[in-house]
Amino acid sequence: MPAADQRARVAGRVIMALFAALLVVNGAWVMRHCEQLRPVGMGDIAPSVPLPLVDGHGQRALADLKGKVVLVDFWATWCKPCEMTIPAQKRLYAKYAARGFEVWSVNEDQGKNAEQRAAAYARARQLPFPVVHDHDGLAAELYKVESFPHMVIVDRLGVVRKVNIGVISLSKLEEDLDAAIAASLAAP
Amino acid sequence: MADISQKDDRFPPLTTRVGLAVIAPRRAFEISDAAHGRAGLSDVATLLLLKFVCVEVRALVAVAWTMVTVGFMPGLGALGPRLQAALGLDLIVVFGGGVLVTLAAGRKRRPSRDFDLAAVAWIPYLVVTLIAQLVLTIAGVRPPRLVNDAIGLIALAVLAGWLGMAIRHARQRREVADAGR
Repeated sequence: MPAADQRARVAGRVIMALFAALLVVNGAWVMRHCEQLRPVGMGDIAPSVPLPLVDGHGQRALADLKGKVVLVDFWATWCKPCEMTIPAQKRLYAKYAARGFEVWSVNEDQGKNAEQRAAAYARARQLPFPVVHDHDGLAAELYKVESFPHMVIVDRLGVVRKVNIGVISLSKLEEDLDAAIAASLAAP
Repeated sequence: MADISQKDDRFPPLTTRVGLAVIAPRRAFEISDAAHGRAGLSDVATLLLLKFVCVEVRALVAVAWTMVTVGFMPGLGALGPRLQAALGLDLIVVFGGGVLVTLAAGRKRRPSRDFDLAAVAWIPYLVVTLIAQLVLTIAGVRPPRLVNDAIGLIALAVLAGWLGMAIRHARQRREVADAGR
């Protein structure tokens, strides 16, 4: 074996040790904080955090909507599947808003002018509900949002009734959200 | 150019190939170029899998939790964006590097092998990002954007250097009988 190959074998082992070290460090963190990685699921109390409205007129927290059935929607302007859900959200809002349904629409754009970008996006799509901006990602952290769209139906008592992540079928998504909203509105 | 296959004693194992890419890149390019697709891109696949498992343990556990608490399909759905976020840039770097090497190789271009050369050039880039990730993970800090940008720049500078060597290797290829491969 050439001398270069022998040195390379040692260097290669060091690099493999680097992988192993990352696995150990991350694994140790997971062992200590496993519960923290659990996403908010059905039956959990939905976390609430006050977030600024993108139109600049104050703040809105999920707790402000207590007594209503709320669709918590985490989305971003660059997320195409999120955009595809907008017509369904508008239809559900038109159908149920008068009966005590609300949307806590949480924009997760980050970086320069994120809030303005979200405001322009909401205006262009004529969203009938206010949009808040999760500027430091705290709400996404609390709900353990890993991908968009991430939707949560919260009942009148603030308890999570349904969680939907991603979009497999738009019609199925709307059907599921509709059923969860109707059931939550019908509950005492 | 010598034909090196995995059955050949001269064909080094993955660990040695990875080390060669960092400390003796010219020999690594030589091996990759002569290995008929058994090094280079195939090493990228192995290393990306390793990277995903070792670096994204938290994400994998979060996905498992989602599968348990929300449902299997939503969990699976969350895996895709995570994979994209974790490996997307690496794949762009390898693909972009391959295109660059192939374009710069001129008449000596052999696209499949040029992509293998770019794959070898990507390994030091990967090592720089892994070292940075290990340090930041141990320190337990979420680095400011400036630090992330600096790490990215260092990794890209290393990549540029190795891609330059890959291009020079491709342009200096000897004409061989199996040039059609």
